[in-house]
Amino acid sequence: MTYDWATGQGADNRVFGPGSIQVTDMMDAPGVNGARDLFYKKNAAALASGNYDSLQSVTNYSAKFGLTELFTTSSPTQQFVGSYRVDVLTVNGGADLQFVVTNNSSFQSFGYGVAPAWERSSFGPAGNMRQTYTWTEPRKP
Amino acid sequence: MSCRLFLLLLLGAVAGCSRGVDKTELPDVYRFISGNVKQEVTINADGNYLNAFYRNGMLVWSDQWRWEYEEHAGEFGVTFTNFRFGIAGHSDAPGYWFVVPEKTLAGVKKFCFDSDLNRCFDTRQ
Repeated sequence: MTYDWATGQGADNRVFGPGSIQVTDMMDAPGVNGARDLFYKKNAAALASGNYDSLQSVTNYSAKFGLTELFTTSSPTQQFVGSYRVDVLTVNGGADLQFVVTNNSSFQSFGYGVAPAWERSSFGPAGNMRQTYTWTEPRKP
Repeated sequence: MSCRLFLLLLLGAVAGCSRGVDKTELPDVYRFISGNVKQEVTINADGNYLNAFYRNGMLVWSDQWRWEYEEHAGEFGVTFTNFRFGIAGHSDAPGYWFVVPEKTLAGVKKFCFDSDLNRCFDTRQ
């Protein structure tokens, strides 16, 4: 994907589903674990009382990729993704959690916020290339 | 990799100049404007916040829920309950939104929601 992003080749928007290597790489990423922890912490009372209708999703959880992650992350997917956002949605009446990880590989994110970003429609190489990684897992009791 | 590392070190030095935001400083009006849409989050000291979304200057929707200042994953930040985004590319399903507030050297407070494109709600007028 790094080559595709740098050269502007391939699809502008990519979706990776359950069973893909990319999703497997992201399921236990630090930011995903942070979003999962937040879901269970904030919904602890509803879970304890069995009030599953009142479970509330986690939206737009921000996972940052800094110096520590740069040197400690061995996953090639996580190295490519860098910073990302996580949504944790309740599905199937609260029995399952759907995770949606969103990333925009842009020149701006490559430059840690100080460089410009552009759509691939205006200039392909290093243009915005969006990825969605999604899977569903059973909610813990 | 080496290019990213250089940029990261450079930005780390610059970022050292930015500050966190204390709980008492949080109440304010935070806006994000892009083209013809605006989302405005008003944080009140009583623990409520007002979330309003506008298109072409007209109010599309608004709601009011609670916020709290708390620690999560080693960082202090704000958790908004039932927060929803009107901004394209972000889930409009209401949920808990945890965000670490930042403040620039100029005193502008902000809640960033897209680190890839450096997009934030902020207190600039």
